[in-house]
Amino acid sequence: MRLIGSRLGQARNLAHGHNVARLGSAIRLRGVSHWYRSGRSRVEALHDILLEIPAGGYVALTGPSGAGKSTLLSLIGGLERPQSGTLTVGQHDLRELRVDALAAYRRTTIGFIFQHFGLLDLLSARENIELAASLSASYKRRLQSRDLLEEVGLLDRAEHRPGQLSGGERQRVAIARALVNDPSLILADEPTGNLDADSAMRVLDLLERVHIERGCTLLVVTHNEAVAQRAEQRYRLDAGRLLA
Amino acid sequence: MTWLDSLTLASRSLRRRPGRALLTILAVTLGATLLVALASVATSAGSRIVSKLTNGGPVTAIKVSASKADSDQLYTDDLRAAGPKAITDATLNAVRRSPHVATVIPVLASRILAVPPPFGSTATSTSGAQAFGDTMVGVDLSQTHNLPITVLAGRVPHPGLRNEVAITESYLDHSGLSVQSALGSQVEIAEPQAFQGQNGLQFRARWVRANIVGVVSQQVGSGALLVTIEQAQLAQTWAQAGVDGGAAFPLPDSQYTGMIVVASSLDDVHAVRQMITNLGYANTAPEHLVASVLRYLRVVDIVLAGIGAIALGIAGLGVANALVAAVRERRREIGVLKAIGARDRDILRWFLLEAFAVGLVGGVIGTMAGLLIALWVGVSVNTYLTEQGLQSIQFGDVSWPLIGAAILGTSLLAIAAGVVPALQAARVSPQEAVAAA
Repeated sequence: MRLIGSRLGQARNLAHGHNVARLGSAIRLRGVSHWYRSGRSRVEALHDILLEIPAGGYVALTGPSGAGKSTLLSLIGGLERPQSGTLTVGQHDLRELRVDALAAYRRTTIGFIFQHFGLLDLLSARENIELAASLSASYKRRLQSRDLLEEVGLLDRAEHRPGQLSGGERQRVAIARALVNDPSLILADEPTGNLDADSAMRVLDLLERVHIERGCTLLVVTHNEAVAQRAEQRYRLDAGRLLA
Repeated sequence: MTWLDSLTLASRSLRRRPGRALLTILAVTLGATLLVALASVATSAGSRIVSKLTNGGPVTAIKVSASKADSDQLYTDDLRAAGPKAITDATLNAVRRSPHVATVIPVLASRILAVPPPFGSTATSTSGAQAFGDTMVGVDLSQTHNLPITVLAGRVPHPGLRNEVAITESYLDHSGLSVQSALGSQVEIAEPQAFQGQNGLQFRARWVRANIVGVVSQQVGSGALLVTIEQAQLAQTWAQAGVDGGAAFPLPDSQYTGMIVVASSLDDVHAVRQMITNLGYANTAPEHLVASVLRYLRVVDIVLAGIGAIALGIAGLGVANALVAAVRERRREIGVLKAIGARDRDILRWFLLEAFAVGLVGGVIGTMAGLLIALWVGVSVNTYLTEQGLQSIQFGDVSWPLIGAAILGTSLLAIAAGVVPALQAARVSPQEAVAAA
């Protein structure tokens, strides 16, 4: 087992003199293993993971396909529970949370960003953001959708449907949606995977700006080494095991 | 997620697949159309048939005669009279106080001589051949809705007025007048009185001229004229002031010649008839006939309801099928929504509202179409009846309870059909969001 931890992210924020709104959630995994059933066989997705990410950290997670990156992201994001070990995010022990409590955790603590953006084509950019706000019954935040669109530089595209936006624009809308409930942890699953180089850099710049200005913890899963290099800390997963 | 958000998602989901939404709505529409059309036609036809059986009066009306009942009275719908038996106010009060009795309306019939226009003929000089002996039926006309009276043209006399009269088709036959020419004309009525004159038993009359205000078909009593009970009472008082006219004109010995008793419900008719028979009065009501017809109508209703239910069931399957397909298509969207914090009930509500919208739209359109079809059926049937020289039947009555029940029913059916797919949607794992990416 390995214990890898850092407070570099927080330290860098403070050192650079940014006004950190509040500290993000610390992530702590101890002996986390997870597996799936495939027919009669058991496929181990994660094996005995020991990881500690400090509050306000900026961490990249890399590895080949099937290494367990998305599974780890799913566990931290509360999309499923680990089958063994302990996983805490801030004050939340995710193995102990029931279904509704996990949904509430995802609503209030996590901001998800997906490779395929995960925007609802039925709704405009503004409505996608407002829907996420309404999930937490935050009407005040709902009113902030336009501010968030302005923050990601897409106010003029507020009423456009996702299908009318470029890939980079869609991902920026997804970032705005992820921020609407003021999460303390942003989980980005291959956020630049479907973007060209320019759009990818703009999205990363935006994510990093959000991370610094809001002080939230940022965990990015990526194949791209260039993207990973921008993080304060980098971890590599291979065959479900965490490498140095 | 608010209700408005769920509604927005539901409506836009339907608009995303307009072809599928249209077909699903069409299935519900057809089901609702069939059910409403069948129910409307069946209800309308049923009520008209019963109405015909009861001559326009309430189905629970019992006609009582100022006669003694014979021992078989209760076993037949027909009047089984066995000699006279007076009906008085005391009789009316006794019946009124009995259980299951809703209304008691006295009837008073008087023998008269009617003289249609042109006037000039008299009781003793009927060379004009217009004068004819008949009966004038008096009844409380404020209770027309409780009486077996159907207005064919014009109206019934205003209650309390003694110068108005409604005529029956019998009057038209005797007078040779048409409905149009009779309406608004006048009739002279001779109310007879027997007296002992110098030459023995003689007759004289009290003459009344009345305006004909309507043509009716009535089964209150046998007579060509329908008048207010006050007018009939004046005629009786006049006749009673004379002497017994023998077989030709016996002195009235009963305060009323009959009464109409309305039972509280169809189930109570038999009990009320039994009570009246026990009081000794002959009576008649289409009790057995109506019960028999209603049983047949009930069978027809069940068959038609079964056909409608099958149609709605198919519509429900259509809704369920469309939603199952939608759940399969939207697994990623549902996963994303749950990943960003949507609860199971948020997803459930989205899909149930979608089902409800389909049911509501289909129900509204189907109900309107069903009513139009019922109307069209009515017109076609009436055209046929008229061609056959039969009296038309009024179809297409707008039944608001039926409309409400149809729209509500199809909406609830659609929701019920959407429950299983909606539960499937609610159980989609939030991992779908990551799996799709």
